[in-house]
Amino acid sequence: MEVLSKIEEILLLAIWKLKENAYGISIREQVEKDTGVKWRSGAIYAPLNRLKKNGYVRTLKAKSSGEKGGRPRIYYQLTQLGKKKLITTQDVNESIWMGVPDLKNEFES
Amino acid sequence: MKQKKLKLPQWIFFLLQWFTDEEILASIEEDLEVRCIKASEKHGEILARFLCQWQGFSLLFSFSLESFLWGVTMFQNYIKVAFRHIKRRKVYSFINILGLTIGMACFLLIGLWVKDELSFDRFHQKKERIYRVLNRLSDDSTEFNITYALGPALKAEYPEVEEACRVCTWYGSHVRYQDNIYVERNIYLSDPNFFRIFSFPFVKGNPETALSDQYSLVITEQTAQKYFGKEDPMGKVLNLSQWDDDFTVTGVIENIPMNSHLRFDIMGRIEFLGEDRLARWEEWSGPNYILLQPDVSPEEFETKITDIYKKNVGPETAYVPELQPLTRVHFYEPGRPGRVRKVTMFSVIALFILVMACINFMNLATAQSSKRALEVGMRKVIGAQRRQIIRQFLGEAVLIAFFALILALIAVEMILPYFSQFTGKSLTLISDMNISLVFTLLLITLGTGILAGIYPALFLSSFRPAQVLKSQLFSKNRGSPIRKILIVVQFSISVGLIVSTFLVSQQLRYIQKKDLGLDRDHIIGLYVYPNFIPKFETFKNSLLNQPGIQDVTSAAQPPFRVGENIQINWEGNQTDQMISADYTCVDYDFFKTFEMPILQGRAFSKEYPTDERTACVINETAARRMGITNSVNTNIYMNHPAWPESFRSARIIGVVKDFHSRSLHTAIRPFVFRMYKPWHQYAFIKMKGSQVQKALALIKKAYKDFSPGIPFDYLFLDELFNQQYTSERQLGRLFNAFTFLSVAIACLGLFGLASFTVEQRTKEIGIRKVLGASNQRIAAMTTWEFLKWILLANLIAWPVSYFVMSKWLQDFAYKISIGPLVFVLAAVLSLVVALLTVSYHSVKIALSNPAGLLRDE
Repeated sequence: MEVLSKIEEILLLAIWKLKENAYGISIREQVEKDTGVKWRSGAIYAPLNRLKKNGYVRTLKAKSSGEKGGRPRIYYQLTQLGKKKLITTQDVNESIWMGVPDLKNEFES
Repeated sequence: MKQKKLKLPQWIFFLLQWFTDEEILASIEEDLEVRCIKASEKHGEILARFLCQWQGFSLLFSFSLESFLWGVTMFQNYIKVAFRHIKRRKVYSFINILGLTIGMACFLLIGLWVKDELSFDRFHQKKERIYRVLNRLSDDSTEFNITYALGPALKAEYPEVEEACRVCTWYGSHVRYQDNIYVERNIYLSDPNFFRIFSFPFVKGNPETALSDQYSLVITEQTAQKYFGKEDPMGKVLNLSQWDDDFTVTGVIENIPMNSHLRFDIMGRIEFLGEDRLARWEEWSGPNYILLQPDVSPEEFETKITDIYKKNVGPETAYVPELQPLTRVHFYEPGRPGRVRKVTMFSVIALFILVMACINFMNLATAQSSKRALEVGMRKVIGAQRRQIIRQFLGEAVLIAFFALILALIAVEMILPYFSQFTGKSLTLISDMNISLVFTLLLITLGTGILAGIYPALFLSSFRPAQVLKSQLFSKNRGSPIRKILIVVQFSISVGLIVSTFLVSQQLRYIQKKDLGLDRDHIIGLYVYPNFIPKFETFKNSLLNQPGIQDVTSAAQPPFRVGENIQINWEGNQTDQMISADYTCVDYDFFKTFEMPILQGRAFSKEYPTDERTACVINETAARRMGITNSVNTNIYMNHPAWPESFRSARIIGVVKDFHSRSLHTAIRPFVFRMYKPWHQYAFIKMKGSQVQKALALIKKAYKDFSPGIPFDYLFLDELFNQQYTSERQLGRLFNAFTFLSVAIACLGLFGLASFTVEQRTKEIGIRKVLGASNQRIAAMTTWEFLKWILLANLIAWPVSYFVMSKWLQDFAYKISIGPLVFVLAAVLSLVVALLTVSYHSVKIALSNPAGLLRDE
């Protein structure tokens, strides 16, 4: 099975962390918060589009909470497949990081 | 919140629609809005707008890169898989590619031919405004040889006509430049404005003024080269024996392209026909062309001139003028649709052959479906959508079509020289490559690929992954009814073509063998010029003393090349109608030379000196039409406008057996022979069959003695006769070739399919053998499976081909009747060919060891 790309992983995790509150802007802000850099729109939405096409993410249409004045907002959720992918990725990540000699301490010293 | 004056770049959303769906778009829009508002609060509006556009570009770039990379990856995968399949199933791929190659090569060849046919006379700049004037007769047939008085009259009376010119095809003349004499057969005469109407490019001279002098000539580059070599042809003087006068070359045009219906080597002034002939309304001499003013509607103009003959010829005139666009002239043949039908016929055949090759592809692709089912299943499980799989299989088909195109181009390039020679055209393909041709080729390839691939693609993509993956044994009968229908279609076309081929060649043989009522073997026609006619009698006598020479005569035309038309009336005519007849002028011994039996009376004879002035011989049909039982000694009156009144009456001295003076497309017409020496143009010499070469040498020597320095130019009459049917013979040969190819393609497909079916039924056959079925039974069973469909194809093809071919035969007044034999023959042939194709596999499997068949897992 193919492993998720880094940006896919970051996006899926952002959506997962945001739970009910994952929509376009919040996802981007979450990603920017997590990574500490500004992201171009294209770098976010093109992979998001791919995730949706691959069936890792589904969309929900809901009334937004006021400020937009009744315009529907699109919320994102992980699908079962997306969750499974994320779990696999976590496993992979853990096994990659397993047994890594103390990197940070060595670097700082 | 502040009022948003900020405009989002709408074009980005429009373009992004291509890549993503509405919901993602909505998210992007919202996000962009927020970003831009923030940016404008922070940096001011101008910068914000710039940032906004920048984000838009970024989005577009990311999405298109993403989709491109994805597309490339999938495309690479498709190509890889396609190549794998081509390699793995060598026989099938070979059959597919070979079939498509043949199909496309035929399609290209015929396409080139059709394109050339349709390009006739389209190089003239004013082609849309040029018309040839036809006469539409009361029986609804048309005639293009009309009166030369019409053109000038139209030009003088109607402002709609910008120019009018008359063209005369002169039979031939000796042309002399200093000591060189050649026989020229393509001399045209016309008005000075000819080159203003038609755009034949001039190499030297001025098209406006080239023909303004009566004694001027315009010649082609080729002719100039022949007479003058490297010298400048302008102003050189040529002597034409026909008028025994000197003419000056005032213009040289480029050689006339093959796709021009006007073909001349030398062009002179039409005034040489004589003022009388040009002014006579009653005489039908040759074609008239008119150039209409821009914006004149030909239909309206046609109605305006309907009465012109009634006004000028007489109120009882039954024929009316009709305008024929220049671009249609090439397709015109008097009284029959001819070439247009040939063009459609071949276009249809080309399409048929291509379709048959596509059918092969469809059949083999679906027959192999079980091999691909797993792949389709896997792709679907991994997440491929149906349209992606359709795209994949279509792509595969287009890829194979592309291979076939390259092979077909190579094949066409190799065949083209022979094909050009055969059809008498100069066709080119690769050397004339241009954008539109490349585009057409790609379109053909794409079309073929899609036509061949659409059914397999739809069929294969419909598999349910669960079914396919669960049971390895794929239900084998799916899709087979369509496959059988396709085979039936293929063989129907083949059988239809076989039947047509048989009938075409039968009809051609019939024409060749038909007794024409006159002899044409071992007779040569010798062109004689006016100065030679007085010497003819001595020439004849000197020849008759030689061994190997049987008879000598002279006449205006060969007896089967006569188109001159007169009205005749006769003593005791009960009706008030004259009958129209063909006529020609002949000399003594004419009937003897051509072995035409005289049924009543006698032939022209020197014993009766009055024969030269007052006698005529008619054919059976004329006698029958006159309704007189013994027509000998009846006086007839011939309404020939060029003859003096005293010469128009004649007494019938004999009736000759009917003969075919025109091609077998038309029925025998009444015919009148007269003696009128000044019009003679040919000497006819009958040689003894065994001594042709010797006799020819003798004739040549005698001719040289009588006319020193003049080339000995002759033609064999049987060759001339066969020229009348060139078009039919071409049709016959092309038919043979294309039928052969279509049968070959159908058999290729059958072969592939048979091998596949047998392979699929391996186990079943193994079990049958174990249970005691004999080899013969097994072979018969597998063979019958296919033969019954071919029988069905025969039943479909018979009525269709009967219908089409009887239409074709309608063009001939004398034709074979369509008997049942051809159909039986076609059936037998198709069955035998199919049997041979299928039996290779069916016999192979029938003879094999059942243990081996059952152990294949």
